[in-house]
Amino acid sequence: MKFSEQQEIIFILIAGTILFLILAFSIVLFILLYQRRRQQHTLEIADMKNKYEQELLRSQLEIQEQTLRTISQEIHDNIGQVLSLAKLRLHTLPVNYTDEDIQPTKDLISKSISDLRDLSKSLNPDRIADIGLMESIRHELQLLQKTHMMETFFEVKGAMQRLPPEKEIIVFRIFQEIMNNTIRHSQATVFNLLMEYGEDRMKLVLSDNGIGFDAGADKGLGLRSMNNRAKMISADFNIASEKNNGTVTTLNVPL
Amino acid sequence: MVNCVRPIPVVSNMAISTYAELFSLIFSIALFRKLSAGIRAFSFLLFFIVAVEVASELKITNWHRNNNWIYNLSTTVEFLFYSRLYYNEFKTSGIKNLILYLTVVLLFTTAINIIFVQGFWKFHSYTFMIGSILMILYAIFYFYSGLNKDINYNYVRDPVFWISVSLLQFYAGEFMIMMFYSYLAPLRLLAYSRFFRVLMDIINVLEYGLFCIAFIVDARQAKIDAAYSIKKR
Repeated sequence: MKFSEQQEIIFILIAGTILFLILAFSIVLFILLYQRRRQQHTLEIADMKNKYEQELLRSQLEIQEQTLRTISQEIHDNIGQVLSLAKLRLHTLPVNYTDEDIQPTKDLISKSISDLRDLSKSLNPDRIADIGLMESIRHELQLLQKTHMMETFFEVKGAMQRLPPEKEIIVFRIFQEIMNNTIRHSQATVFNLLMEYGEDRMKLVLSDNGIGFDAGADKGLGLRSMNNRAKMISADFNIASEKNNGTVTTLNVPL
Repeated sequence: MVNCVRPIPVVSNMAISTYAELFSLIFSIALFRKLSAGIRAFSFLLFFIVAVEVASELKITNWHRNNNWIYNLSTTVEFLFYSRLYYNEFKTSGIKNLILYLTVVLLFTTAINIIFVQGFWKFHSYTFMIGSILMILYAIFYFYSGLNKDINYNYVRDPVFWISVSLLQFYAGEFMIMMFYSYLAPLRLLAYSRFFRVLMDIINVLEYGLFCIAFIVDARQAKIDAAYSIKKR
């Protein structure tokens, strides 16, 4: 064998061996890096799931808190007043009262019973899951309407579809927060709500004719919280408002 | 310069390799009590390897002007040992059966090769290559199986991972040498001999160094497992 041939073979041998060794260590390195990335990914998913569950729990607690506040107000302002009036009427009844005399008191008590029945429904912790998002929203609007603080309008477009229960809770909590903000700050006289069901999305549009606010300014904690909650259910959340020109809030939720 | 020199020593006269093997043996004996049952067997393997190496260096095993026959035997024992290790590590019966089947095939072909093809006094490079491929495949498959384990599984805390890395680099590093062995060995080229010696020293030091890491990891893991079982009780 010639010298050059020998050199060539030795060169191939060395190069091949180095290549094999590089390949072997690359496999080991790849496996280790791949596993680390996989572990990180799993941890991130678990963290996201954890945050989602925490947020869901917080939403449920806030809904319950809000419900209790509404009930307390309703008992004090409405049922309490009606029953007091009924009591007063009973006190002022003539000795020989007729059915006609007692009828208005009966009506007042019937109204109170009806209101109490409505309220007891609100106390059910699984109310949203039981009656659905649409009916829960309708019920809240009815309660608001009863207070005579503002006129409420509710419109549903498209064929109603149920969202997963966790999503319904979060959407309902966002709706409740917007409604509260409207009651507290907007000085509005009209509150409109449109629920529009598409093929793969549900749009919720809430608008009022209040004093509005500067939507471009720094967002407060409430707005940021609503935004984060919307992100958690992959929904688009948008608020459009101008001073003295009302507010329109849109929530676009994938079904 | 390529010179024709004395017959190529196959694995003899490799002081660094022998030291690495000896160090690994002492290490395994020192940790013997702390090792798990599967890894303890390495002490016996290492004792066997060191005995073969020392006997070769002392030329006790030099029959027919070389010591190839003892390496034909020792490398086959090593293949069997590592195959058994993977056989115990894999839990799927299909893979276990495959390893068993391949081990029988390897033994059979090695016997055929030694008896009829390369002969008893020549190194069995053909079947050594087959064995190397099997060891490389077992190691890679072991890595792959780790990806399907529990998310808390950590390769670096698994002694078999370090053993697999050790075997992968050793058999991948030796592969090219063995490919050209039957062609180049009879030529007795100095460059080939030198490269062989340097390469063997490097991959042997790495191999036995990684074995030592596997022993440390195993001893530590056995300690953790023992503490956990006491807590559980």
